[in-house]
Amino acid sequence: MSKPEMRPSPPPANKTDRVLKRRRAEQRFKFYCQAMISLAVAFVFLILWVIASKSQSALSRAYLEIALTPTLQAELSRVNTPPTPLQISQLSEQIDHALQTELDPHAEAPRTPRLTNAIFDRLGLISAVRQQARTETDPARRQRFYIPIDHALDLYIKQMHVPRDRTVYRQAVQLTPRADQGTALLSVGTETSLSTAFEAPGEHLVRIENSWYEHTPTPGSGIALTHLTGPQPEQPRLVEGFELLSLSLSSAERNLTNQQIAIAEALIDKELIVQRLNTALFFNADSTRPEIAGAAAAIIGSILTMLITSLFALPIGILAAIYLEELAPLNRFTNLLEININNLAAIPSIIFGLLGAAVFLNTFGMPRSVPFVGGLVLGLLVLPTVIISSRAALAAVPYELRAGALALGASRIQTVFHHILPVAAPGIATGAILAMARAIGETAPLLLIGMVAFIHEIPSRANDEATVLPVLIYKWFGSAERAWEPITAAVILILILVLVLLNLTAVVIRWQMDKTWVRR
Amino acid sequence: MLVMLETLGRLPLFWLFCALLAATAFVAFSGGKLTYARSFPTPLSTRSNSAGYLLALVALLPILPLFVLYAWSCEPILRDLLERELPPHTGAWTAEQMNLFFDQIYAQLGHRMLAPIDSTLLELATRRYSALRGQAHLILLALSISCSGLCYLLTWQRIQRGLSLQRALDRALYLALFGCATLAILTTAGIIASLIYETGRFFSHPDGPSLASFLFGINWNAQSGQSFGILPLLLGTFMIAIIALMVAVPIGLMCAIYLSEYATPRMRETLKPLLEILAGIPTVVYGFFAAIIIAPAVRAASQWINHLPFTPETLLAAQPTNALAAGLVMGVMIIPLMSSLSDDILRTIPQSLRDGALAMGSTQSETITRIVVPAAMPGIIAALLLSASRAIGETMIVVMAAGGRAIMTLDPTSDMTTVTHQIVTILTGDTSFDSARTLAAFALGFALFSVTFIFNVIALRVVRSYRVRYV
Repeated sequence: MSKPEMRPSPPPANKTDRVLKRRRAEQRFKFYCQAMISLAVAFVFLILWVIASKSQSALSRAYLEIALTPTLQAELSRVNTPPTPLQISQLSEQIDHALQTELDPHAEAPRTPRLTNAIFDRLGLISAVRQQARTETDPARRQRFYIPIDHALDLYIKQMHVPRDRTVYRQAVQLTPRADQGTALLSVGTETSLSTAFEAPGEHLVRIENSWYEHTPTPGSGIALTHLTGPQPEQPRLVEGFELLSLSLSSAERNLTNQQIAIAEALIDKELIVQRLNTALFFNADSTRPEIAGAAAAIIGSILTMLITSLFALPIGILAAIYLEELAPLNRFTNLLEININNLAAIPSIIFGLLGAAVFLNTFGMPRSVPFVGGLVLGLLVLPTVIISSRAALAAVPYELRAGALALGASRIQTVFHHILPVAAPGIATGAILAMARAIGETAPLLLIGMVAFIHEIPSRANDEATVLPVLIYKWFGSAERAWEPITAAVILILILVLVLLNLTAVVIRWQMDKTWVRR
Repeated sequence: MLVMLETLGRLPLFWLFCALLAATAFVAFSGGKLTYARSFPTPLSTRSNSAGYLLALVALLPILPLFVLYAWSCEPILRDLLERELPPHTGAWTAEQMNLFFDQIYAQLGHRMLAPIDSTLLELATRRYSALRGQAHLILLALSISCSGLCYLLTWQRIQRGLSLQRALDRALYLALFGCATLAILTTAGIIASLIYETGRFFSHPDGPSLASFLFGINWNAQSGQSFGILPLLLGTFMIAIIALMVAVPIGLMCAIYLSEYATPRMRETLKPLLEILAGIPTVVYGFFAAIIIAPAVRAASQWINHLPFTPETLLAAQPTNALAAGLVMGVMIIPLMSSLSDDILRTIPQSLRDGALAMGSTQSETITRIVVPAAMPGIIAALLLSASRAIGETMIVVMAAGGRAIMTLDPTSDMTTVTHQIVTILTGDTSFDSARTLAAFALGFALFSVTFIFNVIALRVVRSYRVRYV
C-alpha cells in the first residue's frame, strides 16, 4: 500500500453537510452491494423460471385415442416386437379405416386418401405398439390404443403454433355442391359482415356440421369452398350456421397443411385426440421425430458414465488426498504436485476432451462414443476436484486425534486408516458427491470423444455406444423443428432435478456431520 | 465341456477382471489372516489383520498388468487363429470383407444385433471364436492365479523369516498412495505431451500452415482446410471473455463485499448457497438460456438501436446469434466464481485493519473502498485472472449462442467464433487423426492451454502468497 496522501483538508464550510454527504455515500454503497447480490440471485430464479416455463408444455402431449374394435385388436395381437414393416403398414391401414368411418360414417369407400399420414408418423405408430406391449401384457385387457400425433399438430393443439381465431356464425346459409368433385359454394346473401370476414388476411377454414372446407378465393358471387374432411354435401340445402377458423399464417409459412388442421380439428371435436402425460420422454430412446424422442438412453448412458467416473476418480482421488495431506514429506516434488493439482482444477474442460481424443482414442485405439472412455475422461477432469475437497475434509479433522493415535504407537498409515479416515468420511463423501454433480453436467469433453452420435438403442454396458443427458440437450437444441424446444427444456429439468438431488444429499451429509460433532 | 468354454468366452473381460480381483483379495486376506494367527499366536488381532492385508495386496499386484497385457494382445492372436481355420474360399476375401466378418462376430458376442444373421459360416465361426476366447480366458485365469499364488508364497516366506509386518504394509500402502498422487502429474504430462506432439504434426503436415501464418493470419477456414489464421478466433475469444468479465467482475466483487463486510451470518448462510446454485448449473443449460432468451433479446435491442433516427441503419450487425449474448450469459455463469474467490480473499484481510480505519472515523464504505479492497487488490486481480481463464476456456455457451463465423470485427452483436468453438466444430463427428483439419484442433488446444495455464499459475501464486502474508 502506498503512503497515504497528505492533502490540506478543505475548510469545514458546513460540518453537518459533510457528515450527511458521507452518510449518504455510505448508504449508496451499501445499496449498490445489495442491488448486485439481488441481481445475482435474480439470475438464478430467472434461469430456473425460463427452463420451467419452457418445459411445462412438454409434460403432456396429444395422442390419438383409438377404441380397439375386434378387427383392430386382432391386427394388433399379430404384431410382434419389433414389428415388421409389413405389419406396421397393415395396422396403419386398419387404423386409417377406423378413422375414416369415424369421420364420415356413410362413406362407402375411404374418400380422404391415407388419413393417418396426416395425423401421425409410422415411427409414432411403432412406438405406440411397443408402449402397448410394455404396459399391457394381457391382450384381452387392451381397450384403447394411444398413438402420439405429429409434432407440428401437437404444437398447434397446444396453441403454440399457427395463431388462429374461431368464430361461430348462426345465420342460415345456402350450401350448393358444384359440378367438380369436392367443391361447394356458400351463398351468404346480402350479409356483408360475413363476406368481409372471409376477406380478412390469412387463410380460412369452415366447419359446416361435421365437415370441414377450406376457402378458395375466387371472383364471382358466393364463397367458394373446397372439401377437406367429413361427409360431403349431396344436394343444395340450407344449413343453420357455420364456424369460421381464421389462420393467420398462410400454408407456405407453416409446416401444416389445411387438411391436417381440418382433420385434427374434426378429431378433437369427436374427442379422439386427447392430452396425456408424455411418457415417451422417460421411456423412449432418441429418435428423429420429436413426438417419440425420449431421454431414456441418455439417462442410462449418464448412469453408466458416472459409474465409470466414480470407480476411477473417487478411489484414486481420495488416496492421493491422503498422501498429500497426511504423508507427503515437505519437499520440492510435493510442492510441484500441489501446484499441479491446483492448476489442473482450473484448466478448461475441453482440454481434457482433447486429451481423451488424442490418448484414449488415437493412441490406445479405444472405441468412440462409449461410456467407458467418457467416464475415464470425466474421471481425469474431476480428479483434482476430488483431491482438493478430500484434502479439506482431512485437514478439518482435529490434530489431537493424530497425536493420540501416534502416541499410542500406531504407525502413520494405521493412524490414517483407523482413526482419521472414518472421521473425515462424511466430508469426503460430500466432496465426492459434488464432484460427481460437476461431472454429470459436463458436455464439451464428451463431444470430442464422439458421444454425440445418434443412439436409438438403450445401452446396457459401458462398451455400448451411448450418449449422456447434457449432450442430448445440446443435440436436441440443434435440431430445426420447434417441437424440440419444449422437450429439450424438459430434459434440462430432469438434469437439474438430478443435480438438486445430489446437492441435497451432500447438504444432508454435511448437516448430519455437524450434528455428530456437536454431540461429541 | 465345449458349451462351458463358449459361455466363458462370451463373458466380458471387465467382469472377469472384477470377479478375479474380488476372489483373490478375499482368499488371500482370509488365508493370510488365518495362517498368521495359527503360526504366530499373539493377543493382537490387528497383527493378523495386517498380515491378511499385506498378503492380499501382494496377491493382487500381478493381476492388473496381466489383464492389461491380455486385453492388448488377445484379440489379434485369436483372430489370427480363427482365420487359419476358416474354409478355403474365404482366402479370396479382401481385407475389408474380412474386417466386416469379424465385426459381425464381435457384434454377435456382444449380443448386439447388427444385421440378421443367416450364414451358418458366421454362426459356426462365432461359436468357434467364443470357444477360443474361452480357452484364452482359462489360460489367463490360470496364469494370474499362479502368479498371485507365487507372490503370496514368497511374501509368506519372508514373513516367516521375520519380516516386520506393519512396516512392510505401511511401505506398500505408502507406495500405493504415492502412485495415486503422481497420477495427477501424469495427467498434466499427458495433456502437454499429446498437445505438443499433435501440434508438431500439424505444423509439419503438408497441408498445415507455417507458424507465422498461423499466429498472424486473419482468415480461418478449417472446413476447407485452406486457411488457418488464429487471429479472428482470438479476437472472438477475447471479445466474449471481456464482455463476460464486464458482467462478472463488478457483480461478483460487490457480492463478495456484501457477503464478507455487510451481511449478518444468517444472511450469508442463505445467500451463499443461492449463489452456489449459479455455479452448479451445467454450462449446456446456460447455452440453452443464452440462445433461446438472451440472443433474441440482444437482436431486438440492436435492431431498435439501428432504427433510431440518429443512427445509420447498418450500425450493428444484429445477428440472431451473437457474441454479446454469449458474453452476458457467460458473465452470469462466472459471478459465483469471482464472488467466492474475492470473498475468500477479503476474509483473509485482518480485522485490525478495519478496526483501525473505523476508529479513525471512516464510515464502513470508506473502510472498504480505501483500506480493505486496496489491501486485497492483488488477490482480487488473481480472482479476475482465474475468472478470465474460465471465460476463455468456456465452450458450450459459445457453441450454442455465439454464432460461429470467423470474422474480424469489433461489433459485439455480430456472430463470432472462439478457439473452443472451433475445437468442438472440428472434432465433432467422425475424424481421422491425420488430416491438417483435425490436427488444427490440437494446435488451438495448445494455444488455449498455454494462455489459461499462464493465467492460472500467476493467479494461484498470488493467492498462495496472500495466505502466507496475512494468516
